[in-house]
Amino acid sequence: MRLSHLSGVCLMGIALYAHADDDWVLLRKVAVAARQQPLSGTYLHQMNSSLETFRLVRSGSADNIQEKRSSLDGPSREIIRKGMELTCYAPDPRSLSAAKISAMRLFPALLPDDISNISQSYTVRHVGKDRVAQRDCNWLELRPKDSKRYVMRLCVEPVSLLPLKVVTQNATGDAVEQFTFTEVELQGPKDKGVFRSQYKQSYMLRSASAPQMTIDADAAGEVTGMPPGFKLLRAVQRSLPGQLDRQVRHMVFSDGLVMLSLFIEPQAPDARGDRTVNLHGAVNMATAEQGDYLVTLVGDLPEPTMLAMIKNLKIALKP
Amino acid sequence: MREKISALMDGELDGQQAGRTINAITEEEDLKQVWDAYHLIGDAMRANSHVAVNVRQQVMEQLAGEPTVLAPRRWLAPVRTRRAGAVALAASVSFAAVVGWQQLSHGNGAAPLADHAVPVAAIQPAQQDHDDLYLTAHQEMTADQSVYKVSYGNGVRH
Repeated sequence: MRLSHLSGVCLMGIALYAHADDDWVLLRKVAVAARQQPLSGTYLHQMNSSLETFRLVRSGSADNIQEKRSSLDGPSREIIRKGMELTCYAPDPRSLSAAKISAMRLFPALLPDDISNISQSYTVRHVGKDRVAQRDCNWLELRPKDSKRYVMRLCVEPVSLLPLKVVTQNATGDAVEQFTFTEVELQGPKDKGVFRSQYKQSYMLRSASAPQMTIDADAAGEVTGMPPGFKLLRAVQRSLPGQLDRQVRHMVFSDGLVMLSLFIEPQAPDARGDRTVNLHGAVNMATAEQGDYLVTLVGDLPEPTMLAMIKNLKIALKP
Repeated sequence: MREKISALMDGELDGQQAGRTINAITEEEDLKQVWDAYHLIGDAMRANSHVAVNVRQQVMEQLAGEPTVLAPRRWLAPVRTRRAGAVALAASVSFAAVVGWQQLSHGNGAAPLADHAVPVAAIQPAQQDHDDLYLTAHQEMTADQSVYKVSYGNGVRH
């Protein structure tokens, strides 16, 4: 154990002086460990003025990961992952809708799977050592090149490369949202029974089969004026949840680190004008009129940035 | 004498009687103990009953009454007005304490409501529901990013 620790420290020592490309390689490994490292732990999630605690257990490997997170405070919620399948469980409908919101952030897996695009908009660097959940860790910082996006800092355990703490900061260095393990063992539970839910109500966020939503051919030309570095991932025509009569164009963009949803719909008669709302931790929403359309952006970007983005968009939806 | 002390605390004595009673309290140790005990009882009752409305009202009345009493009597009976001044000061302090305490306890009571971790923080409930729709839609599409690997690969168009 001591030897492996030592070698881990040495490896990180080498990485400190290594080329920036190696840092991106390291970040990719961190993203994989964050998704796959077997573990049993408890973590805190703090955003704005609120604090939540979750128990997280995970075992298996690669395509057969089993994972369960249970809320320890607030409404009872469980979010269970089996391979690709992701399901929320709760004792009643109200808690279930809370569970869906909690499933937005599956700490420690906060980095996207595909970070190939990330170096266009962010720089990565090492910013010192720390100690989290009784373990030593090294801070990695992802800093946006244009200072209009959030800074993400991850404290990475040197041997497993598991992020033990993740902080999202605004331009002034204040934490907007943070996650931290309070205790964690780097092995999964022996008893597979723990991955079953104790609650009756459930909602499957994602099925194990292939996803239904993909990019259609015309989508790329529909919206221009997105800031550099944002790539269109998906575009679908859909109704908002529970509002079948209301069709919106939903496009998902990513700059390699954060996801951004763009909703385009016909101008509503009761439009409220331009506004921004903080929805959940670092997730903000901005709405503005843009020509004949009502445009809404939702994602992990500061509110002023999103409002400015909407103003620059050019929309040419095909009728 | 005990009734007089009680009456003094309730603000029911006039200037002369109050002066005499206060003198008595300062001179006799027994009476001072009674005075302290009555205050202790008062404090205990206020601490238990969470809203000390009675006290505030009496203090307000006293505050409203005193300034008009103070000014004309100053040159007639300077010693007593100093006492009345002291009472007024004490009244202001206790009034401030009551108001401060009520603010404080109000703040404590509201704290759990401020915890809006779940589902979503927003001020107007109707608007919040609507905003939640976008949040849920966003979340459905971005729930687990490993989806993208597959959606890139299969090349399905519709």
